[in-house]
Amino acid sequence: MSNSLSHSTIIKNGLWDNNTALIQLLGLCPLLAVTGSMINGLGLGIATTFVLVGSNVTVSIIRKHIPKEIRIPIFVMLIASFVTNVQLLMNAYTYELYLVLGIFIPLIVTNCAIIARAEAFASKSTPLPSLVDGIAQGVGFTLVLMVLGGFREFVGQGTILDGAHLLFGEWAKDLTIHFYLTEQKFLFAILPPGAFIGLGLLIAAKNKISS
Amino acid sequence: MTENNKEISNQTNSSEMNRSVLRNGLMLGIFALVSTGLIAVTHLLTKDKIAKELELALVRQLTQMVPPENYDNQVYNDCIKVLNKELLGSSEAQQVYRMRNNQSNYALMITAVAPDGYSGNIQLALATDARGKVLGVNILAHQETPGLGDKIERSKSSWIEQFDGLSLQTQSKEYFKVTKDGGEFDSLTGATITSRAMVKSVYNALKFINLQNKQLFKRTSNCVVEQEPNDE
Repeated sequence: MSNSLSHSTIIKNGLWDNNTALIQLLGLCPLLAVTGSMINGLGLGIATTFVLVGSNVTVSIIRKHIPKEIRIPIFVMLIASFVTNVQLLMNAYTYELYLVLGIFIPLIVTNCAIIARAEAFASKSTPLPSLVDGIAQGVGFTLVLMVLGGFREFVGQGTILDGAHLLFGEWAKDLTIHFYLTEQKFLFAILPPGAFIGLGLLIAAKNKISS
Repeated sequence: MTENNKEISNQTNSSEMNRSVLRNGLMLGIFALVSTGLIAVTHLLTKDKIAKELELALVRQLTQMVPPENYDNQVYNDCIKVLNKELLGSSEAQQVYRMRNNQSNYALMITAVAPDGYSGNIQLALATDARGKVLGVNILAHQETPGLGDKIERSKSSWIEQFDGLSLQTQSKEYFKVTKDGGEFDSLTGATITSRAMVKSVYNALKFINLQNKQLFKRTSNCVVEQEPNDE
């Protein structure tokens, strides 16, 4: 990839043509783990996007000082230290937000999508396109998380946006939409198998639309 | 002659390789130092602030679990530190807040750590009345898996309400286990480790309170929480 990519191409790649979750199939570990509800998906999405933008820009700025042979361990260290610092700072200065998003942050370290962007894009591009790429890939990832989370939540417990107040405050309690009430939740959708099948269906749908 | 040449070029190759390995190793070392250094600095800068946020959260939780109209003392200033690694799960001192009504002991809240959560420590607060009956349990901090273990949070599921009203006087040791282990606690689906750690930690904290009960109320207060400064 070179700098000749226009910003709109980068954005289109992130959201659709080269989507992290649907095409690159990266970051599946946290993706499958937290998409039990739409709000959890959104939470992980926000945290991931933030780290992705930070790591992309940092890697891009120091890309000329990193020897080619050892770039991967250096990326790993950069990302791990970035994530840890963000976690500490959030804990100290935005405590309320930390209570909500904090549990997602350790999951980001295991998200290979971030190192993949560092390797495939940021290490070969200038800071501005890297920033755009970080945002686009992050938003693309977030959208998939939300769609999959919404799907599983709907099938599993008959709601959408359950727990919105955790992210947006008390007023958001009214955002929750109840489609049907179940005594017994449909555990299959909420547990990991539901995540695999849901993601499979999403990828199939994406391929169908694209072709 | 050709043999010799080959050897020489091999030697230069290997010494060149040595040099590049050395250079890269050094580079890697520098990056490791800088990134850990940055974390160390951030840790030092945020340590106190984080501890303070945790204390303020604790005070908020306290009013959530025990309605303020039930006691009349300045509970934030009526607090002692206790240390018991075996029962409270941490080698750091934990706090006990005492709530009194008309000089008589009403309730207390103790912090404890469940050291064997799925990913590290779960910090919790347990409130009991003066006779050791649970008024409520709340989570102060944890890193359990979103969607699974995080259901121990009161805002995410009612799981934690299972502790309400229990006491060691009326419930046996066997009661304080998840159903899978023959006890009475439903475990969170797919998060038995978290449930187990929580139940064990609450049981131990209750045991600690039972062993110490009168002492916990009697000792002189020695850990005043600073109130949040009004700088808005």
